[in-house]
Amino acid sequence: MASKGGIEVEGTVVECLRDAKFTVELANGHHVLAHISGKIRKNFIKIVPYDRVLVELSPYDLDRGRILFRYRS
Amino acid sequence: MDTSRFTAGEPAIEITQVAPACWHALDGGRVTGRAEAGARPDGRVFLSVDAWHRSVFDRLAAAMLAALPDPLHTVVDGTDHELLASWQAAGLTIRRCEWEYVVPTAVEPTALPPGVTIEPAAEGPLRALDRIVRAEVEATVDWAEMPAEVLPWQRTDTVVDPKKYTVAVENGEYVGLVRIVRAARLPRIGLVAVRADRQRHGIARALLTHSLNTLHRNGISHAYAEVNETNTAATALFDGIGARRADSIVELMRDGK
Repeated sequence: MASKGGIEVEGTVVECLRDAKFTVELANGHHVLAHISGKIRKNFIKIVPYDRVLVELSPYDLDRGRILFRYRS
Repeated sequence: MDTSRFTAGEPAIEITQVAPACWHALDGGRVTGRAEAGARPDGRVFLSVDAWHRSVFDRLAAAMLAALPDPLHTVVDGTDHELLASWQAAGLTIRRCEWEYVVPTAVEPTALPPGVTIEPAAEGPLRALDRIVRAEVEATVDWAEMPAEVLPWQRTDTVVDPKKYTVAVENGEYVGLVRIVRAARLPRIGLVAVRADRQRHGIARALLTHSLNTLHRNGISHAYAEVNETNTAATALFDGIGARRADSIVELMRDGK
């Protein structure tokens, strides 16, 4: 059986918080608390406010997510 | 397929190796965690684990670490204490730390030593200087002590795009360089280097302030840079121009040797 990933949505980083976490505003106005994915960390991709990002929402808590991808501005 | 099933806290998770260097945590057929290993251009293997629960992180890390040979590396934001503790519990130890500086571009220009000028880089002499700097580094601190982020290691030099460089010239010879990557919102100072025999003359500071002032004239207020916390000359350089330590990056390693 093919496995499915999590729910992925686009959003905009509105705030950098402590502990390497970010507030991301989704297209519907909902805010999620997101951390960066290991792949982004491993590749030293810098996330700053106003970056457009792809967020995977936690299936266990839709207020949390991880940033999978930063779009080129 | 290498699969082990366990119950982690609340979710019943299945850990599955889906590729030689990739593991998934499956909860009811849905991927809820991933572990991956990838070689950087210098050959070092860096690990990453994404999981929503600490217990799932532990299982993914254990599966990956059991399968891969040493040495293995990972990087963690210095303020992410939970992730740092997770990797340490998995058996990795801290190897080095870097400060992440936010650098203002409106800085006082620094006077150059007599006979030294700052110019855009020409490719030939830039590559020659890069080779000299690399040889000096390899003969002293070695690249293992350089940032975890490295450019592709080519046989001759590491210059990919000469347009990113500004150089200091003395008697027609390149003696120092600065490389700045012009990201849209926050440019990154990738490298500041001066030939060993021309250090301690203010050339690095002059190169840096010149490049920062150029960014400022283009409407960019800040840049950023990562500096090894044990590199006292570099930390003094950035502290001295008013850069702020905003964050830190921790590199961890497992080496069975």
